[in-house]
Amino acid sequence: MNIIRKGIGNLRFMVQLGFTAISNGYLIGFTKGDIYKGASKRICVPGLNCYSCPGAIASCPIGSLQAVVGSKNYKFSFYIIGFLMIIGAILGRFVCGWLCPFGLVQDLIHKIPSRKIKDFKLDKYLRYIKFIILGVFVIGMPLLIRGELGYGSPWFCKLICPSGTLMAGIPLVSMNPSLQRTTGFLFGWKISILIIIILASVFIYRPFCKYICPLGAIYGLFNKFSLYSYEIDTDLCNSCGVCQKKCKMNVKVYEDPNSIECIRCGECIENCPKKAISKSAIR
Amino acid sequence: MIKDKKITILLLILGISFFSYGIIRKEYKTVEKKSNIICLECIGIG
Repeated sequence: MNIIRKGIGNLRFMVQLGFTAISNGYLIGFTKGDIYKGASKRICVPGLNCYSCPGAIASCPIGSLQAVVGSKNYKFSFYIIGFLMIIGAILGRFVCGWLCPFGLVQDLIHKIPSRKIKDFKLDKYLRYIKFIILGVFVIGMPLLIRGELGYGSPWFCKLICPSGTLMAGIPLVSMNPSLQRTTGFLFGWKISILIIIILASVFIYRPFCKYICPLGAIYGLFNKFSLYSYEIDTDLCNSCGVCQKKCKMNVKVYEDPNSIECIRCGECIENCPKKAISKSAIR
Repeated sequence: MIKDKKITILLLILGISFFSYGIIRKEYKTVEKKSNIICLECIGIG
């Protein structure tokens, strides 16, 4: 199994690893079975990084969005939406490809040798699910369904997020006996989702990012406008399709270099035989 | 360049304005409060 290889893939792997290590740098948390508590948690990281991960030193933007929207005081989060707009307008889905810890996990699992499924009939329809999840579980339900105390639950975290299960649920429950006693159906449900995503990741590249992730859905909307973007030199491009063949997200780069599905991994740039694709901060 | 990036600049200005207003409204306190306790929902218990 080739985990580290030359070129852009190697650089990306190192950046992913480094960013995951920095944003989860409270290592004592993993030994104590507790989480980091401090002022830095009022700040969000750009990727999906559960704030209940024992090592997390900052907050997950999707968890935070649900927390603010579901709170008594606010119905809209200027703080988190503003943060996502700034990151989206600068980087777009570069965050998914280079900075997201759960993206790294899926990348590693996909390296397990097996028959890879790149395209199938329902693929393009399933990609809309992440937008439905964003609207229903991240915004709609926390805003509209209120408990007795007037607070909305973080429904995406509660019912879906496999990143939270992997990075927070498993380490905390395995090390904390008081939490072990309270696990039940919900924990089993979330473990099942995590197992499905892990198994799917062996065969399909980043199934969570393609079909489920609400953060990817948000950043994807910015891809066409972000400062960091891709550009095709139409004089050089002969639409040979090598870029799409090399693209694990199955993007037709020669037609739409700034597709909402592009996670900016850079494989197309590296493999284009005509060197017709370039990245640019200024168009 | 500026003309091509009009929407990007607009989004950035809007994002910074939203973010700043969120800070003025002290939304970060809600984020801090939520993230400094173990989120039982996130780990599949609550």
